[in-house]
Amino acid sequence: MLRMRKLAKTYRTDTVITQALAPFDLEVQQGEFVAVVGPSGSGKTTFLNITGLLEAASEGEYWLDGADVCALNDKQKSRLRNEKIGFVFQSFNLIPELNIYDNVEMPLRYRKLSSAERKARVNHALAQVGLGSRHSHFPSQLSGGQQQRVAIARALAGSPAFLLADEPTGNLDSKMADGVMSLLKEINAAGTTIIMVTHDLEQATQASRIIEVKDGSISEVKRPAQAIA
Amino acid sequence: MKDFLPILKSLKSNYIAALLFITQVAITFTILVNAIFLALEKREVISRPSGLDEHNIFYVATNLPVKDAEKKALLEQDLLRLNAINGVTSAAVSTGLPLTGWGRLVEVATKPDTKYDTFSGYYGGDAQLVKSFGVELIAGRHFKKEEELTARVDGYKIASEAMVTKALAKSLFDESWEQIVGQTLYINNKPQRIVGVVKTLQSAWPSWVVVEHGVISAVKETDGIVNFVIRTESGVPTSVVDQTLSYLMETHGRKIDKVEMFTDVKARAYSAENAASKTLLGVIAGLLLVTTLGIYGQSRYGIVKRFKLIGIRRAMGASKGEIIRYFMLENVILTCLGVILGIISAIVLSVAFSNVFELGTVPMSYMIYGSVCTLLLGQVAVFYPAFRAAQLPPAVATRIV
Amino acid sequence: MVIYYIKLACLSLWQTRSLSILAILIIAVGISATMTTYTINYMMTKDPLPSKSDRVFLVRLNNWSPEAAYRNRAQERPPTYLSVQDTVNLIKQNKAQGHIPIAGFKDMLKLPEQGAIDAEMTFVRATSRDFFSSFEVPFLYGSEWPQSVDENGEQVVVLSKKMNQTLFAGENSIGRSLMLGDHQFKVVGVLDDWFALPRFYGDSMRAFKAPRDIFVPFQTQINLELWTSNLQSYECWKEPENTTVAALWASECVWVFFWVELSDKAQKPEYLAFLNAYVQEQQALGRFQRPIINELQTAAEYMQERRAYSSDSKIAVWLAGCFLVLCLLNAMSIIMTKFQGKAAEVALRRAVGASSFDLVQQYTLETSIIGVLGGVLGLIMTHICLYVSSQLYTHLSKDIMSMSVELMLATVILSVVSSLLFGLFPIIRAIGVQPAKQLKSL
Repeated sequence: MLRMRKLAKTYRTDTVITQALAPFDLEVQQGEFVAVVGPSGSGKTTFLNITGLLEAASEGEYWLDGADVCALNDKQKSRLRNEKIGFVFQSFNLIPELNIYDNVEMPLRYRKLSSAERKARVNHALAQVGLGSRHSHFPSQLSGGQQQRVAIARALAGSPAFLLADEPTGNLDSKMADGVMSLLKEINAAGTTIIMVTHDLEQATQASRIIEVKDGSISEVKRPAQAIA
Repeated sequence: MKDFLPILKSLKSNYIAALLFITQVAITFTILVNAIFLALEKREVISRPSGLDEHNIFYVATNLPVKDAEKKALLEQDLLRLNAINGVTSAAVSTGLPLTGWGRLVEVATKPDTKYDTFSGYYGGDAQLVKSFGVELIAGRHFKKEEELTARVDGYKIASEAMVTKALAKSLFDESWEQIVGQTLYINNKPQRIVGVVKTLQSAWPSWVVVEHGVISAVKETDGIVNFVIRTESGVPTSVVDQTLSYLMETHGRKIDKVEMFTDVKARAYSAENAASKTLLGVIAGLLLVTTLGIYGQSRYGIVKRFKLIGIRRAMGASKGEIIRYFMLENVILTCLGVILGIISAIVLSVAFSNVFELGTVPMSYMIYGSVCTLLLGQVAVFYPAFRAAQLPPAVATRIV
Repeated sequence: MVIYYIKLACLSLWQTRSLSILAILIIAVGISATMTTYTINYMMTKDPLPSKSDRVFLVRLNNWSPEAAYRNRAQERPPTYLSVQDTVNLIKQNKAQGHIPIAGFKDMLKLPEQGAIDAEMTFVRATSRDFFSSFEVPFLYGSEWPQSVDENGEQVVVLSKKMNQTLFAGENSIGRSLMLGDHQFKVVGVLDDWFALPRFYGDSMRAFKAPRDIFVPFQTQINLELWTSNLQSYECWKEPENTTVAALWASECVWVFFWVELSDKAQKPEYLAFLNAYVQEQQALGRFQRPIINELQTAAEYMQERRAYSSDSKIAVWLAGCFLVLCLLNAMSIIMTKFQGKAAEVALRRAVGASSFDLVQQYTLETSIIGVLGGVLGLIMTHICLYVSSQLYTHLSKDIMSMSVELMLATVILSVVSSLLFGLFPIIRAIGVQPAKQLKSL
């Protein structure tokens, strides 16, 4: 499903080499809900970017759904990202000049789909996040929670195998955050694998697995229950 | 000067925008200097004096509609009558006028039986022609009435005296040009004694290399079309023109070929130069507009991008004046770099133009004036964006994170 | 997909409309400056007879004094015009497909019923019937005069459309009469609009002025002894026998430009050989006592030699070209500014699976739209500039200040291509953002 072997990331500048992620192994099976926790600056986001093919690892192997990611060129990576991965960001990252429908439709535009099918998928995705009636609104007309739902709908529209969420509730108040969390759990229950970066420990416990990133090294936290205990 | 290093560092980190800016200044400078030089060169050509009393002269080209034998008498009568018209200072007959595009040229030599030394424009007319043209005598004397001759065509073939322009005299005798008076020149191989030198009298073709060379002889010609050159007191009153024409039309068979003010002749002669210099001025105006807009826009954007930096500086105690000074100094540094590049490319372009199109090269003084103008232009364009930047409250530093 | 990009481009142009308008305006200014000067230069230097440029020639015979070379040139060249007798002889020998003498005179023109007071001094072109066919002059009414008129010198005229408008209110005036001085002429043809630029066939100083409006047979000018001494250049190395026009016609004075049209360019050596033989024949009669250096010169060569092309128009093109580069650099920095604001969107689109190529396409399309709009606006401005130029350049024919369809198309293409060229760098920089960094920093 998702398999990383001896994966590592180092940043080089003229004078300094920084090890962002020490070599690690990781496997994630379909349907899992993985939470990634750790202090800020520890490499959580780097880990998520590599997982989401936004950055390339410096060394190691990475297999995503049977494809050897390291062997892919930009176009193939973009293709893979488009079809297999959905992103949800802390700051939503909706395009202000596009309306809700167009924002959600965006990933589908980079696939060869008929307009009827695009429409069906967008409607389905918006219905899934409970915003079926807001097609022609613009992001600025929605609350933060609603905007994040739109962002989730955008991630779901392409029916990805993986949903990568980077602090999805970071910019929301607790009530809205709860709503988003339960939405993510529903999506996970429907079969989508979720990898979520968070520093909210309580949220992390709702996941089926927890990974901790600390000073660039990745380790598995045994069981959520034990973590609480 | 304490801002100097920070500015250089900031430019280094944003070198692409800086390079773009410098290139624009350099191109502006290159075009500006060359276009102004060309425009002024055209203006200089246009403002060259023809030697005539330009604003007080008109001419009538007409025929002498009588038998060949009677032409001389008619011409003399015409001249008497025209000189008698109220308001006419002097009327004369001439084989042509400066800058009309149609005239005669002669070969001039200082020795007999040698090849010619130079070419010159030629005007033949009565003894009053020099006075009617209003050209200034600077050496020797005028023609005497008794020296006046009449020919059917090609008056220089029978002339025995001639006057020349100073430019022609100088081309033959250099600095001792005044010695030409009393000497004999060979005009189309016919020996002629030089009686006087006039300051300036241009030939018929404004773009001719030796346009300033002129030979005048006191020989009227009667064949075909003759030109009456009429000089008036101040301006050319329409009444004088009307009286001239109505007198001429009294003769049966008279055809008026042309009536033209000399100012119109001159305007027509230089219409190409005039149009070209106006076009160049248009180019310069467009150039300044685009560049000013460009500098303004780029400074404005550059400053908007650095709101936070400005806020931090303000928070750390920089005054408004210091903020303005920072951006103006930055502009000076960039513009100077652009101007240095521009001077090099302006020289290259100027040399290329002078090789290909046989023009002069842009003198260094243009580079200096051009640099000052470009710097001022940059300062003017950057002032408003810098002023606006200085108005930013220090709090932006803490708000924009 | 293209439709999607167009939609995005339009949205983006609207989003950053002040920057977009500025970029379009600046490109348009640069384009119009370049195209205005280019059009004028192009019209002035273009081949006047593209279909025949290699088989229409100016005939130059070395008819000059035995004592000195023509104009005392170190490198001897024959005069550019012929004497009347040589022109007539060459036409009679009839060895070329077309013989076109270029002569003329000035006279008072009026209708027979008008009084002398209404007569206007008019420039008349005297030539042959071949003038119209060889130089591809279009007729509105009637046609050129027949061969017999050229031989006998009958009193017929061809009028320009403009002259026909002035004299006959634009009616079909074939068969009507007019007076040139004391002579009555019959109209046999009226020309349609005729854009002969540059007008290579006569005096090079007038190459960019409009053609004359009235044409008569060369033989008619000869027969009627119509001569205007201050109209065209004439040069004599030997004085005419006496002062009559007939003596001038019989003299060695040269003043008639003589063009020939050959059936193809291969005939050139043949015709030159004929000219040399003709001159040898004349030498036997005591004429042409100078080396035989006859020439057949094309219109372009003749114009080049006489420096008919002003360097001003070329300099203007160069300066305008530099100006265009300046405008494009300016537009480039604006486009860069525009795209820098899009770093976040680029990052997001990369994250949802757009490849760099997808984004290059999107932004290229947006830049092209700027280029097209700049080109169209530039085209409009070019037309305005050309109109202003036609008012300013009074010494040039108005026909120079007009654009062909090809030039208009070239304007828009130049705008799009140059915008893309200068927009490429901003696009590549915009696409090159690190998506990962941008997404986090938001």
